[in-house]
Amino acid sequence: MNIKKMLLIFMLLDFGFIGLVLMTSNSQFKNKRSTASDSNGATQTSDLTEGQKNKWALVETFQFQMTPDWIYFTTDKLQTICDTSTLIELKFSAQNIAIAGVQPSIKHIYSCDEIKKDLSTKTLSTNISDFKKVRTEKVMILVGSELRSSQLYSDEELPNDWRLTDIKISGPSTFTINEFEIEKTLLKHFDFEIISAR
Amino acid sequence: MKVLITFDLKSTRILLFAIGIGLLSLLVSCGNNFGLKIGDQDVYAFGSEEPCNFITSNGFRVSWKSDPPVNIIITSSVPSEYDSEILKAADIWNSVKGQQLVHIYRDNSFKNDPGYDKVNAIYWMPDWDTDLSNQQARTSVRWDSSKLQDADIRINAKNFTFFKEGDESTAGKVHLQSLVLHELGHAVGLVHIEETASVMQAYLKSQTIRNKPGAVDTSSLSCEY
Repeated sequence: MNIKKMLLIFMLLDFGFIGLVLMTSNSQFKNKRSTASDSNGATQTSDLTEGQKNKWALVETFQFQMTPDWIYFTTDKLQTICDTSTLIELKFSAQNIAIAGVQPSIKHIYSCDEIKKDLSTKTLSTNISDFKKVRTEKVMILVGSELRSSQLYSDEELPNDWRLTDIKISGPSTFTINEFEIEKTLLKHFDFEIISAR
Repeated sequence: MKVLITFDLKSTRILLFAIGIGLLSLLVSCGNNFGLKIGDQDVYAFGSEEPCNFITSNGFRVSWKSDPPVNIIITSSVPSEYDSEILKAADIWNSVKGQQLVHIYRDNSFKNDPGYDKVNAIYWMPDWDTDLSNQQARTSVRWDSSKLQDADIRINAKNFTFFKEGDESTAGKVHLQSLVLHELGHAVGLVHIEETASVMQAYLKSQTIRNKPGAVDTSSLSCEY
């Protein structure tokens, strides 16, 4: 066999191999981006599993609001969540700061028993004053909920920039919704600013 | 079958071209290996970097990126007898990468308290939070868009005493060089690493010398520097 023919066959096989590699890598990439935005900014959920679709539908109901005195987290599904859960934990993380390699955070943990006392309750609220106070108090037991701080120190200022980063539902049905999932579903983060005097 | 092997210039060029395309395709396929997992607990997160034991923000490692050396001041609060230990700790990190990653110098004229002033500094703290009396030191870092902007190291001089190389009495004391080495790790962006070979383990026992970065420290550092 002529060496040129051998090389031509090698080239054809080579291109075939390239095609296969590109097809495989592209299909993997498509799967990875199964929830990415399309050109109109709308999110596609067609490739999600049933559980993921349920989670997506839940996150779509989330609303976040802040007033000078309160932080409000609202969802129409609050009572439904509490039907199968015992605790709802909102984790707020300080942005752009880490102490000993960990971002300071404040958790507000709500009891479902308390939430279910009033079936019209759709909103979880956090008092800004309590939010500031927990820097020094570390743990604050409130009516039907408690606040806990981590990596916040009395000799350091309370960070200004915060984000609702995790929503943990605990009980027979336990799962967590993270900041990336909130961003992908709602195309925004739940960011807020706390102006504090030490 | 007769096989004719003649390596003329044209054949060699075609062969090299084919090999080149093959290698290129291999690189393309490797380049798409983003660390992504899809599951009910992590539905939409994709494209984030491997943490490599670094602080992460929005899925990206936080470091000084391409800006080393990190300049750090020894403030006037720190007893000068410990300068050599602090400088040695910096040298250890520098030798890990074979480049100047950290540059430390004393500046007694610097009077700021710890805070976000974009001045990296080491402070000797005579007061410490009562609830955290077992904390030997603490490093706070602040960043902007995953690039570090400020690092402050506080050393707990209220609840701990320290020893340095050559000291005879070490009982109940903390090896300052090892402690500062750990805190400088945080200052360049590392988190705690719970491996026995790491200098980034969370707690340093008194009288223990832990001043040799392990393989995990070196490989972690190499992700960013």
